[in-house]
Amino acid sequence: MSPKPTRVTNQIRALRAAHGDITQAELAERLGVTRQTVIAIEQGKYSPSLEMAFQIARVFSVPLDEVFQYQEDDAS
Amino acid sequence: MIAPEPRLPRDDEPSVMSMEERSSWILLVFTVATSVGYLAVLAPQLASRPADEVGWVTPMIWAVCISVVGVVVSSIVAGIGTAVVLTLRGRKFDAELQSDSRDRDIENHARLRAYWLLMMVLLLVFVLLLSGAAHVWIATAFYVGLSMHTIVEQVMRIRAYRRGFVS
Amino acid sequence: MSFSERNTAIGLVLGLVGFIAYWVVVISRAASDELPFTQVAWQGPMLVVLIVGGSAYALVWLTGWVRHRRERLFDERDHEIQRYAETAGAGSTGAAVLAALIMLALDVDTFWVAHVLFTLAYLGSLSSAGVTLAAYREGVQS
Repeated sequence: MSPKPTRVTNQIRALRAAHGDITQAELAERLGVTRQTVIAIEQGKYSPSLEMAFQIARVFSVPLDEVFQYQEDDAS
Repeated sequence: MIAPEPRLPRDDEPSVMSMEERSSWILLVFTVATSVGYLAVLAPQLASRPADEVGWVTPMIWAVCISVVGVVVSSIVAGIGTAVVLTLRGRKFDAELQSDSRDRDIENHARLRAYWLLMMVLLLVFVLLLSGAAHVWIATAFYVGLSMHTIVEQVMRIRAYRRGFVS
Repeated sequence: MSFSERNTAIGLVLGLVGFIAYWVVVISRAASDELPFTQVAWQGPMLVVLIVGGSAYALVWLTGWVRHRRERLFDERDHEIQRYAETAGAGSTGAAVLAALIMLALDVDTFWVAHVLFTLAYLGSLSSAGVTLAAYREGVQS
């Protein structure tokens, strides 16, 4: 597959498992999006809006940067 | 046979294609088919008759009508069909069959990227008009050009769905 | 002024100048020749307007691009405004395309096809540019 196009990575899958095994569909329902969108976000194929990013963090009751991380370019 | 109480899909159950991606495929297929069909009908006429006598209007009306009706009907049927299949498997289908912000983002992304093609088509048509080309050539160039723009835009949408995109 | 805003403003001016110049030339030709109005020699002026206008705009774009080549040219705000403006112009352009196809089907004289298309498409681009510049000044309701 082609390389992931976004530099934003996320811990959503781990967070879902750690918070009572929330399924993709359950998270999608809480966010008002489709399950496919949650899958796309987890796979790094789609960057959610700032609002949605905050809503995701709110679902897990963690700060934003525990959900999303930004990869810098390698120094070399 | 009574369908089981609908529940949200588990993670290990495969997801279905999202509604708007399916619409994109449908539009792509119909646009390719009708434009090829139009050209196929037109080509023998163009080869055998002077340009002024080619009957292009009826084939074009047919092509456009088949495309519009076909896309609308197919999208509705496909949507209902998927919902029925999911319900029969006991899955709530709205988790996977609505339109959300990602669909809007992808649609806008593709539309912006494909816009220049539209401008090229207009330019081509103007050049043909002022060079005095026969109407059949102008109309055909217009129709084929618009079809190609649609095709390119839908391909971009599908790639954004499949591979992801950065806006 | 951002890259996009500057190009839109210059494009607006170029378009206006070209559009007006075209009609001035064509109408004065039509008045002075002895042919019926639709047989005026409009093709030359239109070709000139398209080529000169297009090249001038491309030049403006290129010089801006070269000057800003180290920076990010388009950000999210630019994209959003572009989207917003396109919807504004789309109605006119869509009507232009439809009208042109119908006129071609009815075998209307090429003169009318060309000029209806020209005018409606220009109005579409004009409203699009106007909306863009307003959005840069005042912001977009999202």
